[in-house]
Amino acid sequence: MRRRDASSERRNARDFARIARRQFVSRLDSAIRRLKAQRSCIDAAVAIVGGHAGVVLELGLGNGRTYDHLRERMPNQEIFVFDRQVAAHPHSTPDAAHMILGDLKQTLPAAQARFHKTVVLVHSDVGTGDDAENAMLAEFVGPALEPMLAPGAVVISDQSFAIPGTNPIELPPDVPLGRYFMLRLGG
Amino acid sequence: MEFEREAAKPDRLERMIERLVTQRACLDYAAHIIAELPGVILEVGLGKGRTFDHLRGLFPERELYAFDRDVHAPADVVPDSQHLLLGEFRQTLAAAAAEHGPCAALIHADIGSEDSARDLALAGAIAPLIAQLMLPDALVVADRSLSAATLIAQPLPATVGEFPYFIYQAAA
Repeated sequence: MRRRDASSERRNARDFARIARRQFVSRLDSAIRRLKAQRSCIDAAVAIVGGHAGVVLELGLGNGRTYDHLRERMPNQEIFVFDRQVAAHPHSTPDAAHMILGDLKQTLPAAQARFHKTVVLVHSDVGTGDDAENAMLAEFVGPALEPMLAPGAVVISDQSFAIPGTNPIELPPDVPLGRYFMLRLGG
Repeated sequence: MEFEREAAKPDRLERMIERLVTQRACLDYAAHIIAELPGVILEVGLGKGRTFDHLRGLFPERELYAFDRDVHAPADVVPDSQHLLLGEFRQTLAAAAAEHGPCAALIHADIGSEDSARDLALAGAIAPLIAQLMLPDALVVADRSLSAATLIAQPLPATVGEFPYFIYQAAA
């Protein structure tokens, strides 16, 4: 019995070595990489700002997975979510007081006074398949966020954008370059 | 101990990662087990097409067929109309089993929803149809437990995490 187990383990090990050399990257692989990158970036940001007093902004609720993760990782912080509409799983939809509905071009500037220098973490996942739309959003979102950031705030984004006063911080080692961007406000 | 498990309850992002990693590990593992067994590959539940795309990568030389109620996958992962069987699984699988009999070397059944009563009933109804479509020694990888006289439960590969998944082999 023992010997058979050992040989089947060896066979499995060879199979997995072959799989590791496979030549394709599937949508399943890409989805795993993207979700793990989101998790790593959020966890890295939480490690930096987790204890800081302040609020968290999620730009783009999507189906609510990263909101659920933020909520789990930062149970003591208020999280406000911006999106055009709610299309999330009901278990991970914020209550009405924490859901800010509308176009970011209106809702972000309107939130600047309310959240002035109180935001410790932003997770922005607003990219679409439309490059022009993404470029426009990237140009707009960074400066719109700037007045709301508390000193030391961290911004995670799926789009590269510039925010005055911030510096890029190193991505977690399992996040491919260019997939996510992390910035930290000095001070 | 119970308390610790409860405290460590994964959130939806964690669960999705676990699910996809488990699917990939099981499909990669199954692909090697059935590498020498000729037969078609069936995806029961096309969904977003992620695992169908993975199966296409694993089996570039084989015919793949996908079953689903409707299509909500991106266009580039939707098979052509000859390889796409749309309708209720009970009907489309029964029709395929009647027409082709045992033809599949590997079936991936990804049929679960959040309605466990519905899933239990569906798994009960389609398990014998899936068994009829499997060649001797073929594998079915499934997200719900399946029960049929010819299906023999198999261990999962060591690389899977906590997410529940199932592999069965058809009796030779």
